[in-house]
Amino acid sequence: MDLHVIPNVSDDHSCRRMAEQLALAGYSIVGLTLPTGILVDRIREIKRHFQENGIETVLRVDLSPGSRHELLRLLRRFRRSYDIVSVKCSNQNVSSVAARDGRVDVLFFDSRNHRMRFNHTVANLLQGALEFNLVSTLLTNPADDTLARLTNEARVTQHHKTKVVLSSGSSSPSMVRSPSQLFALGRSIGLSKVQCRDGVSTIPCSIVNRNLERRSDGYVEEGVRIVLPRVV
Amino acid sequence: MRKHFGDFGLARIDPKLVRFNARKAEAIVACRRNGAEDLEAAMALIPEAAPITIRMSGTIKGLVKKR
Repeated sequence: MDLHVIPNVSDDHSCRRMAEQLALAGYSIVGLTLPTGILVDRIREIKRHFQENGIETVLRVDLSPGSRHELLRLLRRFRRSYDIVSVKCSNQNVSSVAARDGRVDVLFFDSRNHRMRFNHTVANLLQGALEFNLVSTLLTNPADDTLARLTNEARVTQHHKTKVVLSSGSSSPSMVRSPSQLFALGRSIGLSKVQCRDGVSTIPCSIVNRNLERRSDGYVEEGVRIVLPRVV
Repeated sequence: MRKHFGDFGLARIDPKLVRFNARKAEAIVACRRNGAEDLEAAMALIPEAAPITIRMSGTIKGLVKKR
């Protein structure tokens, strides 16, 4: 499962090509990151491209708040509308609030932001999962310290036994990579075999299943559902 | 591969292009068993060709058969 795929919503051909590449790579479910203001019909059309290639899709939103208040406001507004909510941490306040908040599914960090990294402070607070967008990070920012930074972050996750999600972060068909390639990239930055294996399969699936259950009809809270009597 | 793993890494992985089908844009690449993961990681970081690993096998017959 690839939890972070960013199709070009204005280009149908690119969306179709991306869906074909994902199907070739062997994915059955992907998380589509779409802009928040996009029309429902357009979302349906994009999802159809993927379904035609046998790929189920879940909707994801990437929040990039500048402050704690903005983060909380965006979470209140978008949590119920999307299957996956992720936060791009731009400063320490945002990262510490996002890490503690149960409404945030995944956190990720921008490799170009040298001031903000995944450190022990955030790891201690993290309730969700940390996402490594390996392909987009290493292809778009091939600086010498990028690998070193990723390796350090991987070491922190091993120390704290943090849940890790490995994604491609692909924004074009040429950035799509197979799960085994994401596994190999995770190993090359120092993650363990178990972390890499779970990062491309178990953990993203559990996040999606949990949120789909929460958004289903009749769900009240964990372990509590409204069950309507069957009319005989 | 040399860029990411150096000359020693390249020697350790020892990649060889075995077959290439230009029509289907498919290739079979052989390497040492210990270097398979590193080969995949290096191939994942090629921006131009955008290679996707479809499957891995210990034998060419196994690769072709699984199709």
